[in-house]
Amino acid sequence: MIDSRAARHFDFLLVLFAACLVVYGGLLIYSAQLSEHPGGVNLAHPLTKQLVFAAFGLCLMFAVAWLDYRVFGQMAVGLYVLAVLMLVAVLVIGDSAYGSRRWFTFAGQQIQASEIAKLFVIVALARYLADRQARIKEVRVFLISLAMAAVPAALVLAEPDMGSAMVFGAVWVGMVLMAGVPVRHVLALGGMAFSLVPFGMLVVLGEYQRERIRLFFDPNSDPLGGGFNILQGEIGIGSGGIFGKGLTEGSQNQLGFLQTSTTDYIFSVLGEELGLVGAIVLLLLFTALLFRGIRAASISSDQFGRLIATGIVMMILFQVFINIAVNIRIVPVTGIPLPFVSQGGSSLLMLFAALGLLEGIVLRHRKLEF
Amino acid sequence: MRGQKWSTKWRVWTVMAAIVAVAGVLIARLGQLQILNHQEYAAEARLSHVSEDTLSGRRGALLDRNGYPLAGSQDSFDLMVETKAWSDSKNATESAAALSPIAGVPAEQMVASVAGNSIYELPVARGLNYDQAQAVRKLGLRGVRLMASSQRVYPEGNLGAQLLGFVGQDNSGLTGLESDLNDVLGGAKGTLTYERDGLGNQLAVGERQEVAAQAGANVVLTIDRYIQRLAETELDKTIEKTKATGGSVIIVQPKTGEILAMASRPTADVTKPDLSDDSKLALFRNKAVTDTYEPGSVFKLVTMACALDQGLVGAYTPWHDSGVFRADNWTIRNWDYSANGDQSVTQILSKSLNTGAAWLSTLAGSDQFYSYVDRFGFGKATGSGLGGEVAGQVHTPANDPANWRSIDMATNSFGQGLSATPLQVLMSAAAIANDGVMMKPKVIKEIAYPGHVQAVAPEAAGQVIKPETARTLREMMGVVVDGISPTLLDVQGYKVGGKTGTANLTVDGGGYKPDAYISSFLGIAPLDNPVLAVLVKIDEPQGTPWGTVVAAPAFEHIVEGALPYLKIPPTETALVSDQR
Repeated sequence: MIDSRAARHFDFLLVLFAACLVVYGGLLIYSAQLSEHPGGVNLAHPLTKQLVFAAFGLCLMFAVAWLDYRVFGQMAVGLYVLAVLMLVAVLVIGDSAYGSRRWFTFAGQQIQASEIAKLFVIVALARYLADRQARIKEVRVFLISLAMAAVPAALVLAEPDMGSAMVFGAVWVGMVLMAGVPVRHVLALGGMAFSLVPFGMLVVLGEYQRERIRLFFDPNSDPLGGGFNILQGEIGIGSGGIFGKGLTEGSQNQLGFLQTSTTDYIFSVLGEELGLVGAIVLLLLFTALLFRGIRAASISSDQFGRLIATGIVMMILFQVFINIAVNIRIVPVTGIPLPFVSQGGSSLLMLFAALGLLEGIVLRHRKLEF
Repeated sequence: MRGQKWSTKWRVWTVMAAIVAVAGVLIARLGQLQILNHQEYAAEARLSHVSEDTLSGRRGALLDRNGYPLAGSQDSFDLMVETKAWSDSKNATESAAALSPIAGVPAEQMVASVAGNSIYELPVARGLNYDQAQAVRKLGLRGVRLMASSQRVYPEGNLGAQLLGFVGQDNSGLTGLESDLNDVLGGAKGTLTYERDGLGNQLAVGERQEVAAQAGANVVLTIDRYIQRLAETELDKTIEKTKATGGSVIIVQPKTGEILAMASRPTADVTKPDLSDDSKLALFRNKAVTDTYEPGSVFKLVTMACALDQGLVGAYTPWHDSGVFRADNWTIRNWDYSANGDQSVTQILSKSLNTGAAWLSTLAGSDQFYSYVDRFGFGKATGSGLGGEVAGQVHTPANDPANWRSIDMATNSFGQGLSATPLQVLMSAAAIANDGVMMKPKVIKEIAYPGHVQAVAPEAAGQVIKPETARTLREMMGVVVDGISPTLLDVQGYKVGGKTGTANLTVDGGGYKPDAYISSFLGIAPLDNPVLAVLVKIDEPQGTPWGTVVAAPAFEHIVEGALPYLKIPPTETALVSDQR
């Protein structure tokens, strides 16, 4: 499926940065789990599971890269329908945790449907927008693409999972702008959406989301309940200072003040134990990774590949921003994992598959290989 | 095509700019948290996982003057329950049922005190002894722990309750000497600083700093447990016999001002403090220093001291009692409306003549009279150091010129229209007994700190009258006692002196309570070299209210018990009279 001469285009840096992030995340998961697993890393340790998933992820990445990404373009309709069906199914038969249905249990593994759906929707949107390159300025194209993103977003919102729903929105915005949709359309839609904020606050948002927004502005209103993690995360990061307290030395993390310290709040562990320096290293890795991603978009031989790459970059960028922003309290709490870093198999596999798509685009960016 | 390429490039640059912007925003906020506000967050982090407990040292004992403990501390155990362990109601009910018979606390009460509480650990029973603690340990219940503590014990029972006071559950004194001396008895508090985890559990391997608590000092009081017991027994007997509402007995050493006994009735029980309402709390008041009364005729001693000390009269100066004494437009009469004709000054005391006292005060004049009232300590606190001590009230031309009239001095001369605490009244007699030198009353003999002992030396308040005047007054007090029927007062083996008093009971808001009296006897013994000054004051006795009848017998019994105990040899003359 691939020209052997094209293999020299393989973007090793992209994989290296991703691998660095996984290893970095592994250290943090190890530290966050130290009190639960004082005996060291064994088969039951979450770190082991995470590394196994990363290994699977690498294989998946190579497989996806080897397959021509344009194959996925031909499957786009099927993938989109599959994504929507999965999201509907998870609402009906999914496992419930923390008051929301987000997971399937498949072969003993929990699978988060929205993670897979994100990637499928990116492919479908890229195909749709690329096919209508010539009519891209039509409102009809704009609205259909919007509907394509809105349906899965609404299903995810119903789980409820506000964070993932917003990821669909961010991805769509990035992709339509890259595709050449007039900026004024997007701005008009943004203006409308903004004017609907009060309505949204009352109707769309569930009670738990309103509570989260209230706690965002005033975590001290419930310092031992809902505000606890918000406060403890912030305190942990702030107390970390410039150089941090040292890996496994963070009092807030190690003494059990932080909840979900291997997933949504893993950045608090980093901020406390490795300080500002550790955070900057993390952000540099992400920036480098995303630059490699946007490079794929830039050099892609076709619009389809460019849009896929853009969608993936937007997805990762938005997740990184929201996750860290929640940890340092610049946006209200919403449960989004930190890509490559947070513990979570579905997320990791989806991300490596996305890397595979990027690699596929890079490998085939020359129309002709000499 | 070229334009298309350029716009794509521009869009790619936009995305890159967005990536950099996101990183920039995040780093800016991180800089704010981790550099600008780092100190505050570091302090908060420390606060959230470092706890500080206060440690109490062993509370010092209150000892009587011979070293017998009146109140001491005994090691005990508090039964602590982890709230979390009892959040399961089945476990809570079963555990409480097992603990209840050992601790002697109803099981439902234990469960209720823990249920719904958010504090990590709570006491469900206090003051368990070693055997009880062992029994609890044997049960091995989850979330149940014994915490070393201490308990106040009273080897002499409720003796001296109001003077000693009681200790609260937090080991700090709440009334009486326990409160006055709390800092001395309590020692220096220590602190235990330790790290805890998110659930509040102490970390076994965490940072741990202990500033050890210092044990409190033992305080040796001037109280003598035998004499205190004697005083309380006689007080109780007298109150029972006369169906009185209460009373006080205070015994002091005139030469040192040391208080040997101090008791009032009704009293509270320090061994089982009942604080169910304010009226119960009021029983803890040491009424010998906190409450005042009109002293009545015993105050004639002060009036007489003034006239004698000024050289205005002698013991046998003749004086004519017409039965009335006029001041302003008021007429003073004797208690029995008698007119006694030609009398000596001594008989003013022995017959307790109001007209005579009023005459003596007029002879001295208000300046001199009130100067002596002041010297004897009336209208100002004695400086005993006992909590809640009040000064009493004396209106003088100086401090109340608008309302004071000469009739006031006339009534003051026989102890009416002014108020004093029982201790103030007693100290006036103690000054007479001590050749005119008034000592500050004191209740602390020495404080035994770990390592050194601080003795509290006797302190003179001043020479209030000349020694000769004091001697003359003592002779007169002897004459007063000689005039009392031996059936009421006849101290075997010793010659004693004293003065009776019967005063009306004032009520709040002014005026007197009808047919309610305070009967008192103020005495010194032995007369020639007094070692004891005693005040017996009985509130609202039923039947005959005269101090002679009500209070004098108690004085006799106290002195008869105390003097031999103190190894005071009986006087010779008394021995002769015994053999007769």
